[in-house]
Formats: sequence, structure tokens, C-alpha cells
Amino acid sequence: MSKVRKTAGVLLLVALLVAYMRSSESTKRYVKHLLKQVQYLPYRYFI
Amino acid sequence: MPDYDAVVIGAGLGGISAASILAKNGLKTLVCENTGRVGGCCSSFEEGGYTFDIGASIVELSWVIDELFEKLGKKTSDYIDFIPIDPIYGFMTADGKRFSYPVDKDATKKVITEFSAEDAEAWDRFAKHGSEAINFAFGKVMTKPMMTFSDSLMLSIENPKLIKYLKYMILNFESTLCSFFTSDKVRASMSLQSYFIGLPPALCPGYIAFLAYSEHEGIFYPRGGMIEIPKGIAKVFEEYGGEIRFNARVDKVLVENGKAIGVKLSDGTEITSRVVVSNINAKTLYLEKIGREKLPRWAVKAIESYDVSIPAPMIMLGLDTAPELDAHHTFCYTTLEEMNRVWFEDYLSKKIPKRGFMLISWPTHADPSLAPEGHHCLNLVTFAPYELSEGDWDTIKEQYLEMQLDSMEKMFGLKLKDHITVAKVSTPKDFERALLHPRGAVYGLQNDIVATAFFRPRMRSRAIKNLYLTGASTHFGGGVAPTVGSGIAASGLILKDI
Repeated sequence: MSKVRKTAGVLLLVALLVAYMRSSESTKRYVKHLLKQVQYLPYRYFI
Repeated sequence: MPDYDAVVIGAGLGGISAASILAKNGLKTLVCENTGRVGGCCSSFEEGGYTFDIGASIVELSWVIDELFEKLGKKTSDYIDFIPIDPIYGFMTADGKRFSYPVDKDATKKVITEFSAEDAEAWDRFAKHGSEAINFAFGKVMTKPMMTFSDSLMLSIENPKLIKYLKYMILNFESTLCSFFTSDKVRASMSLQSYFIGLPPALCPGYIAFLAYSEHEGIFYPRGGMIEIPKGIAKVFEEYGGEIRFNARVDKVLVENGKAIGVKLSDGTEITSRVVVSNINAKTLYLEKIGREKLPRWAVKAIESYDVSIPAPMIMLGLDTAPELDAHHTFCYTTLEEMNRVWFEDYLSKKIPKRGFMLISWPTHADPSLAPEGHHCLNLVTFAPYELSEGDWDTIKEQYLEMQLDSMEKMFGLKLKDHITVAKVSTPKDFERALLHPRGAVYGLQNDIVATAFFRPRMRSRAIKNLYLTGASTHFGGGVAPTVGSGIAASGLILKDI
């Protein structure tokens, strides 16, 4: 089960990476901008 | 026994809206306002016979104001005289072309046809999407609290169309526009609205793009200047027994055992209350008025993680003649990408943009009474950093004025210099000093999708009990309608809790 999960996880990551690589410059800029703030979301949710 | 049921910090639209509903419901309510007038960024002042607006220059989604007055048991028209604005925008492009978008959707389609027949067809689809997205999805949540994931889930169940438009929360503004329109001119003409929440088209959430449609459902200017909106609300507040203290700067929110118990003014007066409602920037509230030492560590980390929104320096001009413009609002622009460069190449590098991107507001076009007979008022607004790589806002005011007037003349042929009778520049530092907006932020906190809805500071604080937030720093963000909506939503929570 854990092997299936791992494989699914890796495939998802690869799919996201491919989607990112194939996206427009505008989308890349947007994603980068949002990713920088993801680390704060658990705190922001509660404030 | 506390002095008041509720003390509201700031008579901005969110604060005065919440206060008026509380007063209507019998709560003894005091509003402490730092300046000598109501409205915060939605206000006006007089100089040399001219009435100038401080920030906001128009009202869209006016139904939110109607909803407030309904809750107050009053009629909007008895307090505010809204003048319909048509056309919505005039446009001036660097190649000398001028055109305008009328309120009528079909008339706008005709204008778009001149640029691209394909985009004219796309306009119909955009308008249909926009109407649904604004009226049945995002508009519906503007006056409701959205503090938790379950709040969002419940609102989505109540408004299933929210789910349909969820993709526009993931897409950015630019991609949303580009998914409808192909012509560079059309894309650029509808990209200004991203800066209405203080972000460039590349970073702004996609659903904001539909503001370019929502304006076609009607935009308005209050007769007498933008201050007439908060003045109308304040009048109702006072009719219900509410009290406003002007020039009453709140230095501290009094906190005891994790609960807000009142405020301390700069003159040392302490006022106690059952709840405290803040209408100031959430960063200023938590980090200065409450203080890190009174907050849990996670709360400090959360509030420090937000960036404040971009400042909008403003030039206010009194003219002895009518300007050569075609509409209440004129948008001077080059391309959509240039509007992104304002952010990525200028704002982030602490440079004043010199790209001709400017929104000109001409309030005397709608209401000639704002200036002496035959004279006019103009507001020139653009976006620029708070800190400058060269110089300081306090020392470059004159230079900034000259630079923008030259740019308008050279790039767009708009000659104003010989007709100026009054000229004032309101810099990000002026905004900070007068309105307590940290770093001159006009839209509170930056409105990224990761600082929106339940990721924006809650209306009912979780860090400090009996503390409530209204205004641009909380859900739904900055703007006239959203801040009034925040007042409606926050007061609803207080009435439930108290």
C-alpha cells in the first residue's frame, strides 16, 4: 500500500512539474509568487 | 461596567458601517477617529474652493451600500445622492488613440469590434461569466464572514456558482483576460482593474478580472465628493445615538488576560468597552496597538508574514478650464506587460514608474459643484514604492508633480500645466501619517489569493478575544463596496456574540 502511495505521490509531483514547465511565463511568475507564501498559510489560517 | 458596548478604532467605511449597525441595534457605540473627518481613504477635503477626493474615486457594486442602509432601516437615496457615470472609462493610448467604454454592454461591444471582431464576440462570453461571477458567486460572499474553511464550504453550498468560478481563484488575472481576449489593446484596456486591489495583472487573482464587466452594471459618484458616502452612514449612526470623537488617536488597545477591554487614546484617556472593533490596518493593530508581547507567537508570525499593499501617490489639481478628457475616469496606458513591469521592474526596485500608466479621475465632470464655476478638479493616480532607491518622498514632491505632468503631455498630449490653480501631491508618506496606513498602503494588506478569504486576518480575532476587524485588512479586501461589506459582516458577528 505504501509503495502504491509513494508511486502515486511521485507521479503527482512529476505531473505538477511538467504542468509547471509547460505553463506560460505569466503562470510561472504567479506560481512562484504564491509558493513563497505557502509556508505562512497555517499561521494565516488562524489569525 | 464598561464605558461603551463597542469602541471602534477609525471612521473609515468598514468602521463606520459596523458602528452604525451596532448603534441601530441598541449598543452604546463610540468611534475614535484619528483625523478630523470620516471616511479614511473614501473621503474628501476642500482647498482653494475645490473639493478633492483623498483616495476612492467611484462606487461600483453599489448594492452593498443599499444592503447596509436596508439593515439600518433607511433608504440610501435619503442620505447619498449617487450620480450615474457614463462612459465608464475614457482611454488614452501612447499612439494617440482615444476611445471610451460606455456602460451599455452592446455599445462597448461595438467599440471592441474596432480592435478585433473575435474579441467582440468574446466580450459577450466575458460579460455572461462576469455577471454570474460577480452577482451569484463572489458578490454574495462580500457581506459574509469567511474566517474558516467551513465558512467557505457553507457559502459554497449556499452559492453553488462559487464552485464553477473557483478556477478563477487559481488562475491569475492575466491568464483569465487572455483566455477571453486576443487583441493586445483590448487586454490592456481591461487590465487596470488588477491594480484596484493593488496587484499587477500577473499576480492578481483571476476573478478580479470580472470587475471589468461589473462596472457595466453601473458605477456612481456621490454628489458632493466621495466623503458623502461615509458622511451619510455617519449621519445614520448619530441618529441612532452613536458618538464620533474626531482627532482622537488610539495609542493602544487595552488587553487583559487575552481579552480586549478598551482603548487608550494618545492624550492618556482610557475608554473601556465590551468589544473593540478595529478599522485600521491589521499589521498596525496587532504589532503596534496591541504589541507583540500581548500576542501568541503564532499570531506574531502570521501577522508579520503579510505584505502591505502597494501605495498610490496622488496628484490633485484645480484647473481654470475643463480638461480635454472624455469621461469621469481616463486610463492612460501602453500595454498589459508594461503594467506588469510597473511592479516587477519599478516597484520591486524602488523606482518611480515612468511608463505613462495613470488613472485620471475628473469628479467635476459628474458634479460641477466641486469647483468654482468654470473650474475643474482632477486627480492623477498611479502606483509607486514607499521607499525610493533615490531620494525621499518628502523632498521630491515638486519633482514628482513636474515629472508626471510632463509625462502626460509628452506621451498622451494632455496639456494641463498652464491651467493649474491649485496643485497638491499626496505621497505614500502622507498617507501613512494622515491615515495610519503603514508604508502608505491603500488597500490594507496585499490581496494575493494566499491572503484572501480564510487566509486574511479574521473579522473575529482568534488571538485576542472581544476584538473584531473591519476594513481592507480583513475579508473581502480593499475598495468601497468590500469595506462596507466587512462592516456589515463584522457587526453581524458582534451582535451574535455579545
